[in-house]
Amino acid sequence: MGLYHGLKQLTLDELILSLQSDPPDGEDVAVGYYTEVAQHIAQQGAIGTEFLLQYMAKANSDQLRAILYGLSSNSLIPLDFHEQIQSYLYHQDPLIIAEAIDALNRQEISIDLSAIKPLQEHSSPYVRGAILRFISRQYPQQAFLMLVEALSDPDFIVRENAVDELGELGLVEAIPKLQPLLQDSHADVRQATQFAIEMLEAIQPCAG
Amino acid sequence: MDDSYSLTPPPQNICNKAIKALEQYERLSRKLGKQIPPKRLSELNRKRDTGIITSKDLPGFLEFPGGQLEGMTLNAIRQLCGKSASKKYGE
Repeated sequence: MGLYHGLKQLTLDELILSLQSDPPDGEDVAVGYYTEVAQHIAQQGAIGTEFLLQYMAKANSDQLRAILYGLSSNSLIPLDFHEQIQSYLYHQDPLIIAEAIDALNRQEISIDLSAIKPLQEHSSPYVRGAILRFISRQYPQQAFLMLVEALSDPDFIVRENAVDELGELGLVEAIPKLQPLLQDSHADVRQATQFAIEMLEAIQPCAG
Repeated sequence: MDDSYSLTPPPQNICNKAIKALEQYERLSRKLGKQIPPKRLSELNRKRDTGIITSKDLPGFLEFPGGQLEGMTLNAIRQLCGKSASKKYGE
């Protein structure tokens, strides 16, 4: 996968240079580019992983999000990285917090729900959305009510996350809760809802 | 030509996840606070609209189910999974 196919041909040194250089498509979309660079660096084995771990301290926000993604997509990372990820749950940048939650999710690190649940009230919709993804995948039995409640969140990002997760949980009892969101004010929520309902309706005959 | 005829379809949830990623990458990226560069987005949309988009075209930060659907075109996945094209891709 990747938008930047040329990265596959680069050596580790060239990849490191790419992570430290300006992104080719501009700052607004930097995180996507850096993420692919970090993934390639992480795939270079221990030497790549070690570089990423050390670079975290001086990385800017986009680079840090990318490194969290790159390292957490790799199964061969040191255990102390898990503690490091958790330290980012209290970062000042909400997008870093969201990335750290997704990294925990990707690594399937089980942490006490009480430690992470306060973030459900975070002011950033990206953090609240990431918490929904985490709880729905790590604690699916406890997710349903929380996801249904999030369908009425004031921010479309949170509603959209709740819809997607309800669709993926495969619980057909979610259909009546989802139907009103076909008329949501935001197009992304409407698109997510239409797809989720189609998914759930397709499995409904087998459920009965 | 079409390799989807001889394959056994994967579970429904895997099919759905793959099709969602290949059709709705723009929304799924936005949901994560990430944007696809406009020039690359146009190219993805062109491939999606003609059904030739594959997991290899998607941004590296999006989830795609591993296994047999990796590298298959959207058209081939729809055929394998018995799905028709979605009515609307959004904006």
